[in-house]
Amino acid sequence: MTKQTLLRVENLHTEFRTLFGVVKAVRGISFEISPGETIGIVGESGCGKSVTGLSILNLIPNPPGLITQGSIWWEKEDLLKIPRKQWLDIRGNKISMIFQDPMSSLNPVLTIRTQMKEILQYHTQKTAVEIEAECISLLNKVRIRKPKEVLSQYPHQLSGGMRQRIMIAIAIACHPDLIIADEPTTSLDVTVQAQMIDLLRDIQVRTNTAILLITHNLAVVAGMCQRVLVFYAGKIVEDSAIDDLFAHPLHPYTMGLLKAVPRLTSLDEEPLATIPGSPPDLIALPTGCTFHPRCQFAMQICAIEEPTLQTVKGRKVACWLYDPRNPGRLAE
Amino acid sequence: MTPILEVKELTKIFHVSANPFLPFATKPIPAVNHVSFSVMKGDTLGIVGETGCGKSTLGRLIVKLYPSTSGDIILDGIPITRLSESEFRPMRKKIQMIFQDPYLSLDPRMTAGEIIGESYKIHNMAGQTKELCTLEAEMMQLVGLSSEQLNRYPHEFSGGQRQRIGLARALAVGAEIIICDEPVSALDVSIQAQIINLFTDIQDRLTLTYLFISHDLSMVKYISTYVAVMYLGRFVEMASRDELFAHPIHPYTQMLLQAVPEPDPVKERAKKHVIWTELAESQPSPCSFFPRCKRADQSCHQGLPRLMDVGSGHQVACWKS
Repeated sequence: MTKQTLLRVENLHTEFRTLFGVVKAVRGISFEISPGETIGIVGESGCGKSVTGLSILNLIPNPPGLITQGSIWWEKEDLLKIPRKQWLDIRGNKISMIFQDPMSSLNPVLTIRTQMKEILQYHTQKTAVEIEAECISLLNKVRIRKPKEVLSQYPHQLSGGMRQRIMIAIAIACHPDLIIADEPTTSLDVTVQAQMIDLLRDIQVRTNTAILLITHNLAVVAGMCQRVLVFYAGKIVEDSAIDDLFAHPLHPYTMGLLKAVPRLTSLDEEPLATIPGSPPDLIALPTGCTFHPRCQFAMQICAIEEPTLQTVKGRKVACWLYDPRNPGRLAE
Repeated sequence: MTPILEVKELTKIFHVSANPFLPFATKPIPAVNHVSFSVMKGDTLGIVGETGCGKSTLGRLIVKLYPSTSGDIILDGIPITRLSESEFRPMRKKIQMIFQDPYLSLDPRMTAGEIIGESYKIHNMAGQTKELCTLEAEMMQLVGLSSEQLNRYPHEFSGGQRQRIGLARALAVGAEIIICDEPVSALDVSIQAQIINLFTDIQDRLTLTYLFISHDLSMVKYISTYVAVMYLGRFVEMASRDELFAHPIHPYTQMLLQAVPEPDPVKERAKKHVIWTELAESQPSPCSFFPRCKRADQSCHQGLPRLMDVGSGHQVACWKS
């Protein structure tokens, strides 16, 4: 490896022990992020993408959740082994998170000032006056007009877009090296979503922060990320550079996802291509490849053994169509 | 040919109090403001707009879930706005609704069969229990579920399957117009396509008319014959689907279309979004879009822009067109 690595996740397993059985939300995920890189995690609900984000910050509620295996390397330290006290120095300071729902992730009974000040008071040695000035400059950075007035307001007085900007302002307050953005634009209108994407891109260019963008919307990933990880049933099924993924998706699931979205620019009247069936039950996963019951290319072996991530032309894909162990694989 | 549904100058004003201690100090909020349109049988009118533009309120007004403040709704040639509930009930069969959230819109204590059969019973259409059972089974098969699932409860179904039950419930009483209020926005991408294909398939088979309310422009483009763009309670642009997406005229429509991200990295990276900030201190204008409009100038103060035909049925409410 010539590239410097910021965060390396190795063979992460997270499960939830419920009354109905063990929900295997994340089943052996490995990836790494370099400084300044933007990686997208795409997948449907229940594919483990949010759980991965929460696992990195050790925010999985325990019980019922438990990280059973794996390691998360950050600055030569395994984040899963450090003491609780050391976490306080990392969360919000070195790795911060933007949560999906700006309505429920800001405290409704505290003013914006109190919520923004908290992180700066904890992680910096600034005086009260300096913190106030910092808050205002942060709000300017996320392009909020009249920052002084907004500081004294409560979350319910602001629109969804404004609240999400405040979440972003809090996330970038301590100049983190990595921001985990969990569906940052999902509950927003398209116009506001476009603003948020611009804002995140802009912040990244200026501060060289790495971003892990978790979303179900492939189009949001297209404009922002350099690399995309496609998740299905708790595993990475495809790991590819952005242009290759959209031009030539390898995994049948990725192909299906790309075809299932209607595009604004196309004028055809063809029915939408669908992926039959529905996402698998994480308590009782199908045997072999978890995607095989919905896959149009399914072979005999798909139902027997789970494929592993294989490198194909510099990209990684977990599918028997490309596995060298499969004699009937597609010619490269 | 007369339109199956015609809406004339429909208005709904909510009276909202900003202060919980002064509940009677209300402020009128026009959620739907002088909206007019007509839909032909078998067509789909897509209604797009941002959160809070009044598109859901419009849908609910048309099925009379809210009383309208003024204006007329004409269903199959009969004005229904001022009909009482008992007078309207026989007509309600024709116009049904599918709601956004498939988890909240089905009663968790009723089985799929009971949910589908309930409206049928309410409209006194049911004969014997046997007949009802056959109908329920038929409906389940029509929407791609099996009749063995009739005795299951909503929690046993996935989101996509529940939305299918919602459609079956609307079709059971022989609906001709279905108002779909964001029917797929709560579903996963791979399931959305299944449901949308089901909608278009059933529309072709039964010549249904849809009012498709959504904030997803690509989806509206896919399913609609006509599209109306709504902004703060008013229609600002209305045209046939191809015309609207090929030649958007209203600055708001252009802004919306530009904001939609596309699954194409090359295009997306090249896109330079404009950060739209509202010019709050600008002088008040009769046009509600004025504060966000980049084409705005003095001519926008001459009064409220009305929907004007600019040729081939393309209507725009903007002084600059």
